[in-house]
Amino acid sequence: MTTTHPNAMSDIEAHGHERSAEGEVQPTIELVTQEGKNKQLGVWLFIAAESVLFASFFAVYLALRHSIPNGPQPKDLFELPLVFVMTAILLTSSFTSVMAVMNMRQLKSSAMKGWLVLTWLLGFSFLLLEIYEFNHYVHMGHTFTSSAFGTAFYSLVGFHGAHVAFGLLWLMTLLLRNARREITPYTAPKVYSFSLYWHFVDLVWVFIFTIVYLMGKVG
Amino acid sequence: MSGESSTFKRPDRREIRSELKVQTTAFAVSIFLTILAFGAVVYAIEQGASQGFAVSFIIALAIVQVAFQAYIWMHLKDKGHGVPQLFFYMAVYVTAMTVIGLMFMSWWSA
Amino acid sequence: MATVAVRAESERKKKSMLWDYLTTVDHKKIAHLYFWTGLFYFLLGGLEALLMRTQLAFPLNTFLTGKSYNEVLTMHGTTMIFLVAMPLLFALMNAVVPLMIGARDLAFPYVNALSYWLYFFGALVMHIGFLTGNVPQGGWTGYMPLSLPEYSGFGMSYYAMGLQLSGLGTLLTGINFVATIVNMRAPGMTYMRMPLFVWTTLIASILIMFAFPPLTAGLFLMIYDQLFGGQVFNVAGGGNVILWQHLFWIFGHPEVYIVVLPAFGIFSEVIPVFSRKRLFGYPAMVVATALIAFFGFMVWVHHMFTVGLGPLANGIFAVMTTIIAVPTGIKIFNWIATMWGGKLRMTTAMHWSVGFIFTFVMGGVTGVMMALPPADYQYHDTYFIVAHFHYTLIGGTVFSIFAGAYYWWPKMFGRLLNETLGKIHFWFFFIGFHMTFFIQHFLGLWGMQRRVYTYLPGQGFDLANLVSTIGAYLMAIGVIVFAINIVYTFVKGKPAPADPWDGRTLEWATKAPVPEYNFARLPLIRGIDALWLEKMAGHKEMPVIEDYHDIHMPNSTVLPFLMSLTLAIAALGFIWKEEFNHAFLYMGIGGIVLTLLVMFFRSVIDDEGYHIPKAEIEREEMKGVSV
Ligand code: HEM
Ligand SMILES: [Cu+2]
Repeated sequence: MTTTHPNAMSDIEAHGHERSAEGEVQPTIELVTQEGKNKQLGVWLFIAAESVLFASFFAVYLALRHSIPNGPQPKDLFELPLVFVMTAILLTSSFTSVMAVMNMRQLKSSAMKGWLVLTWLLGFSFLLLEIYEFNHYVHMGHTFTSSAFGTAFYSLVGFHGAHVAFGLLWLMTLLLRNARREITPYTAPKVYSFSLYWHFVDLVWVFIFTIVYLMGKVG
Repeated sequence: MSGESSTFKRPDRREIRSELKVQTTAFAVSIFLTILAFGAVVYAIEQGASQGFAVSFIIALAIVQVAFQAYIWMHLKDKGHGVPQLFFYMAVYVTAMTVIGLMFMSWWSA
Repeated sequence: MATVAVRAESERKKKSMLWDYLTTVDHKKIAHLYFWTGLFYFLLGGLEALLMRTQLAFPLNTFLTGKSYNEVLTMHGTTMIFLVAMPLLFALMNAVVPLMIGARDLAFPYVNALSYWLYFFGALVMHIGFLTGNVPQGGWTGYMPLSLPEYSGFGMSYYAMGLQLSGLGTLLTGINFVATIVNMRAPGMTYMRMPLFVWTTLIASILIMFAFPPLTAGLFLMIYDQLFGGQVFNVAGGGNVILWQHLFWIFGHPEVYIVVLPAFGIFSEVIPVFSRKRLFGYPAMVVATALIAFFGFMVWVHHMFTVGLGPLANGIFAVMTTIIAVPTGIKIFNWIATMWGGKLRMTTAMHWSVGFIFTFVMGGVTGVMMALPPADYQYHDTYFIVAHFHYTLIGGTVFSIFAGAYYWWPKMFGRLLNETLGKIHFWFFFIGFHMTFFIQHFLGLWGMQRRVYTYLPGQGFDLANLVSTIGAYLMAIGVIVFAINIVYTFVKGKPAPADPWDGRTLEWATKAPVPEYNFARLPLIRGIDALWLEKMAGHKEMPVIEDYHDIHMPNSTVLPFLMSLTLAIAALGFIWKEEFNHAFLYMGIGGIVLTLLVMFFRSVIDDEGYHIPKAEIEREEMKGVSV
């Protein structure tokens, strides 16, 4: 049996127009409360703003990617097999978080948690590979301070990495806090917000592997 | 406060199955597009093919992949996503302005 | 499962006032915080302006040195834009936008408090340089490479970190208002029934969402170069100094609309009420606002015409800039048409509005003049520019803040400001303003450069500068009269009725003072100017959609304050590690860790809020009738 968080119920009541009219499609669990709706929209707005933040770093990177007075060239640095593995891992983790949300909507709590744990593990391995990669570059003489290209590269890719790290902290908190809780209209929006964020992190990576790594080889 | 709640929808079996299919397809497409992009670059390097073409090709692939993920994984395709969609396109607009404007102008002046 | 506590009034009122404001998430109290903080920085920024004008009163004056002039100049510009104009507008938005759309609060009350505290601490960080002796001195535009430590010390690091903090707050405010206006409107409040101030708040918030991120990115890169060995703006390392200008103006031009669109909204509220007519051309106003926002992202290079980007870039951006002036012109005609044939009541708020139309037109005209690159080569970096943007920023934003203050004071503080003092305030400020800045157009055309601490005698600048300085002191007198008015009103002012101006929009349907839940029962909106509509239909109150019930309220919390404090600690740590001692790096990292810790607490502690009991609400409502 499902129970609604009292918070959620009062919201539904407080906003009479929220009650789904007859014949209308009912919202899924993360969207029944006013809070849930606000969260969903809020995360989307945040994502829209962050897109422009990343766009600015991309633009700076594109302007400076040939500005390398000293240090190795992108062609000599990037190793496509490693980047491909990282890409596959992050893509898969985005997909596992989709599965988590699908199970959440069916109120399958343990399946949802299972998929989220998998998402966390994949995200964590991505982060480890990125640390390995950066470390490797530093040994080759491509550092944050070695050239304008270096700063632009780490500003962009490192900023993305920081988003992955933050996402992992967020997900860990979610999992710990809700380890013993049911899926309710109070907890569901939290999971859904995370999944939107996580997809966005993956989405940015699609442009990173294309514009930074692949174009670094041919551009 | 009554604890009972039937105000939200639990997807039925048929919906679950079709949704699963759509989501998995999006995953397959993403992986496929990624392989295609990496493949195109490896091919361009080894065959010495036109690099300009390779670049525009992989950028197009990235745009398609992002659209797929946004619409399917992030549920922009679903009902009630009008406002998120609107903001998605606004972000695309400002992003395009920023990247294109800044890129071209810094090349000219460089 | 825990149930939400029901807390009666007696239980809630125990807090001291300081603790109350430190932890509040109520939009009406946050409005007060923004207002007083913004006003404080307005006085500070105004003082800095007087210092500059005093230095410039005579040729070769030695009141300020070149260095201190640069510092005062930089702090004045940065303060006025980021710590005065936007926060004071946020004060008015917070005070009335939820009331205007029939909401009980913003979509994210917690984030709203966070936004304010980020602004508070950001402003503080920016001013810490006065204590350490490294005051920002690279101009409010922070051009590169001037803003690197080699050229101007670590002052610009305080600028960058301070703006980064307050900018984050601003971004969150933008998101918050968009989510609120999209999601929290009362039944019947369709988009095309929203008051124009709500529309301009919405669109300015969208501009914030998309314009602040490029600034954030630019500031990150600035901070990397200043404090972490970055090379983006270091030409020897392959960097490119023009990139900063692009990032800054991609933000900067939308920013001028962020501060002027809400101003347009305020005048669009004030003018109809005091003309006793509905706003002329409401749909045109909405479309014009949206168009301005859309084109706003395609004109930034008009600030960079003299950089040398070439005729193609300059040409494209010149055309776009002249196009963007058109919707602005449309608005001017609509305000005039609203007043035309109306029953005008020349209150103080209306004085500011009429003064605005007159003044802003002049700012627009000079804007179009500068939009033409060949001409701009003459105007650029002269006092002509200074005159232009003060006509738009003071004539638009500052006048609107005064208009809004006189108009909404009874809603915000429960009293009416004194109208006689208000008019004295207006005339001193208005005459002083034109005296200060009109002559600067000519100074610019005669060749006086901006941002230079003095000038030589015998170039024909002397008299004009003296006139300008005298004007500045007249404006200062106006502001002092305003301050006196505020004190007078708090001491002697009588409690204002709920609807003192015979208002048209929903905020005037709330009780005086506005209860913390805003609306005991949510209203039903049946058209534009919802309250006026009911008045015309002979109703005493807004129709409601529900019975009295327990109302759910969010808990107050100290976490937003702590989160902003810890971020400020981090910011200072990172600056001091270069300015003083490398060990401060640990303070920076520690600050970040503490911030994450506060975020962790925020997410693991359930914040269920509480209920105000129905009985109490009914009792309150019986005390007075709302219309
Ligand atoms: C009719 C519409 C407008 C046009 C066509 C316009 C055009 C311009 C141009 C071309 C410049 C650059 C001049 C130069 O530096 O050589 C400029 C500067 C400026 N404008 Fe406007 N403008 C308009 C409205 C506004 C508004 C509404 C505001 C603010 C509320 C504003 C604030 C500023 C500021 C602050 C600067 C100076 C920036 C600096 O260098 O510090 N403008 N404007
Ligand atoms: Cu501009």
